[in-house]
Amino acid sequence: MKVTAPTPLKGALIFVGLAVLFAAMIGVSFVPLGGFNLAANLVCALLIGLGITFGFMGLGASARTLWLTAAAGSLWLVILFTLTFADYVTRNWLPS
Amino acid sequence: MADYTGIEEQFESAGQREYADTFGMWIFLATEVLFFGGLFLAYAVGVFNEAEGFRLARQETNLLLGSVNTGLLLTSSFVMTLALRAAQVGNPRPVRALLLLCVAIGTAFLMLKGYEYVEDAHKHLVPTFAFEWDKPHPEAARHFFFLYFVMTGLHFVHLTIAVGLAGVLAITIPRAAPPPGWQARMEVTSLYWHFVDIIWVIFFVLLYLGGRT
Repeated sequence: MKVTAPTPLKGALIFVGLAVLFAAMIGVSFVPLGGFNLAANLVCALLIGLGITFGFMGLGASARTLWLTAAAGSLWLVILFTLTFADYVTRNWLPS
Repeated sequence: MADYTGIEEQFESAGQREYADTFGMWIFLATEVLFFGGLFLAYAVGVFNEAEGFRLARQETNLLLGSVNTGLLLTSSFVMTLALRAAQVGNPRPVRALLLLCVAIGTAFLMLKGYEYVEDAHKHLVPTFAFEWDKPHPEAARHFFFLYFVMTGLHFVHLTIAVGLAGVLAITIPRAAPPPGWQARMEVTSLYWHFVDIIWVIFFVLLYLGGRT
């Protein structure tokens, strides 16, 4: 299973898209959104990451076992964050 | 000199070896997610407990240099893709130049990051060695900069390895159309390069952006 590199034109279009997202990411950090600035920046970063993963790393055209491997890594992050913050968020729920 | 043309005895075909190469690299990248995941979690807990201190500390990092470095890495990913494409369509002439361009961009990133570390040291932002903080929440700021140096330091090591791999590929590329074995090395190197790029984009958000207003 080869890593399918995009054609130069398609690659250039993906790169322009990433550049636009990058500019939006910096721009939104100067808009006063309170606590949502970091969240908005992370959404931009997530989209850039997905653009690179599917556009440049060719995950979209890869075998399902590679999808499963990438998903396993992501699932680990979800478990890690869910269990940790389940503790932090609920610490004060019960009276001491 | 490595033999890129033969198929090792553990593989039945060139296709199976190709698959094993790519699959192995994806498994490695999944373990890297676990590796960096601990750092993301440490940062998230820090923001959860010390949001204001982290916001103040984030304002001390150099946004201009961080942005330039992010732009450099995004560009290098595009260049790496062009190099891989050229190798896959059997056009070896531009591959070496494109790989060397990747090496140059990666090296520029490392040099800028090194300059930034010197700047941080002059501002006395290095925990344990020289840390001075005259704003509120000094402990949170110390915590932030501890994570800053660990995260960017580990990324620095990863990018240095990626630059080394790309450099070796540029040196060893055969003059004729690259054989499948060499191409497989090119493919797994490109996967690693892109992954290092993605990790930096997330670090850029966590350590440079947010709270700039």
